[in-house]
Amino acid sequence: MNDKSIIQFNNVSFAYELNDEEATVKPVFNGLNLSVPEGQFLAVLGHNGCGKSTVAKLINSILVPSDGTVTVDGLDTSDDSKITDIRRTVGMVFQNPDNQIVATIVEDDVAFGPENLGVEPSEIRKRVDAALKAVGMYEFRLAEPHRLSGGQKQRVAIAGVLAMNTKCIVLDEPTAMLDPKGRKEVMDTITMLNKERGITVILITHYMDEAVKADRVVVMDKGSVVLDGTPKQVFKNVEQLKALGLDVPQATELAYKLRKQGMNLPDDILDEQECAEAILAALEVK
Amino acid sequence: MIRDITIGQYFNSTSPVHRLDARMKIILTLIFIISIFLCKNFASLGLMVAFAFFIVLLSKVPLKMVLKSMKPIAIIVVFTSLLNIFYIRGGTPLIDWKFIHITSNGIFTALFMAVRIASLVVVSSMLTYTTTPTMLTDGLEKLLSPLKLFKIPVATLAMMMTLALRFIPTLVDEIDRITNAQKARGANLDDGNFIQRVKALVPIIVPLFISSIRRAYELADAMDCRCYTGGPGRTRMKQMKFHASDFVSLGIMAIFIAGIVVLNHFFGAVLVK
Repeated sequence: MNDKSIIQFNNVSFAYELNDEEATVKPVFNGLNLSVPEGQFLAVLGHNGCGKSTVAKLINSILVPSDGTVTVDGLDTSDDSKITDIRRTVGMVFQNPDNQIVATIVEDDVAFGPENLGVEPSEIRKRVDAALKAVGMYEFRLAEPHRLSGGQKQRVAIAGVLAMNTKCIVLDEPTAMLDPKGRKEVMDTITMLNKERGITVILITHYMDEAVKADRVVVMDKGSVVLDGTPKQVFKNVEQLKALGLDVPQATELAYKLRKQGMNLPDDILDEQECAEAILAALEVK
Repeated sequence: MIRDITIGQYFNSTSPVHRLDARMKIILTLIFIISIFLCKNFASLGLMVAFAFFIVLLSKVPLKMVLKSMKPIAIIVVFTSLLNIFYIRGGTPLIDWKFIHITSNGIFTALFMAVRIASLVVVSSMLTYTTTPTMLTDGLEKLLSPLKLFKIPVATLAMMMTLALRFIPTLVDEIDRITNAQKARGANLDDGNFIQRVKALVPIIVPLFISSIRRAYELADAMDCRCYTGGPGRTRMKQMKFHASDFVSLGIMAIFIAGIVVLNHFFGAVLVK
């Protein structure tokens, strides 16, 4: 990992314009600062309406900030002439797998991005095959998308982003509509892409167990960053997270409750294994 | 069950007809439709029917399936034949009783019309049986691309068609879901007279519209993110190429047309002026 940041939010303010009678604008952020180094796996947490999805849309220039700047690989997202360059740097995967697949055959859908970029047909073929193999969907390349499971569709969507050779993938609650099996498939794919290919991943989620897998966790509330650090640093703050209406991973929760009962446990437990070992150690000391 | 619907009526096989280029198949179908109306006597009509049979056999599509596509138009065929029998004049009078006048021309016209409509349906359904909707859309896009000169956005229209095809199964699923949801709330969709049943569809169609519009917005964002501009500069992964077999099929079609012309010439017209 190097220190160069691929995505930079500088003092970003944003408000949705509403047509309601009472309020004409609904502010989402006021002076948000966030910087994501290349190669990082960042999880963005927050309860509904805290501006998580807006962050995603700002990165990909679907929305532009009303004040401040968002830069992607040094390119300003409010510069219309750079939109294609920005979007070929940062790919996006949305929540509903059905609403982002455009073709009637899997491989045609994966080819959609590179086709739009005007890539040579033979090169597209290579990229499509490579992307489908990377997400483990190669044998489904001729399938019709509506016959796939939710997790498979999301992997196709990820392949579609990979085929554009993006450096960074933003996933906006990609697992929210999936069953546990599909969720695992998607998370394994994301983790693999980050660890093996060095692709920067920004995962917007409300599943704590997914956030644990990230290098860094950012917790947002009312349009600002309230906690920022490694999963261990962030999930230590059990009380603060609960006050924000968020959960903590189950193992962390258990350790927290036991600690409250006077058991001597560390405060940075994240998974079941750690938790079990810590409890065992604490019991042996007694 | 409902997830298993196939869009269109594509019949999966690897027959020589299936392997032809979609563009060639569209052109050949058009030529064949014209040839149907060229037949002037029983010899050329017979050749035309035989050729249509030959195509069906070659495509390996079960005859039963092909006949099924005839079902909806059977009434039209019978109706137009009857009209022709009773109203066409000329030729030898066969029956002349009170208000019923049937002539040889009437019988022949009715027969020709029935055979022509049937062949038309069979041959055009062969196109959709042997070509996937995606290939058909791509083929149409390529064939219509000269219209770009007249500022007709052919590529955009093709994209719209692809998206429509893509979303048919999704929307069918959605209808299923909404129907169940409304039934769970006590909606009665199956009873009552026609008007009541049409009215009962309103609580299904309204949510369907709303969710479709929401889907459209999300889809537009997703397409934007993948750099779709709708403008020029787009390439395609799958390039369409004519193979030797495409030219062979065109040759066979040419021989067939020549056969029709020759038979028309030697056997004369059936209808008497």
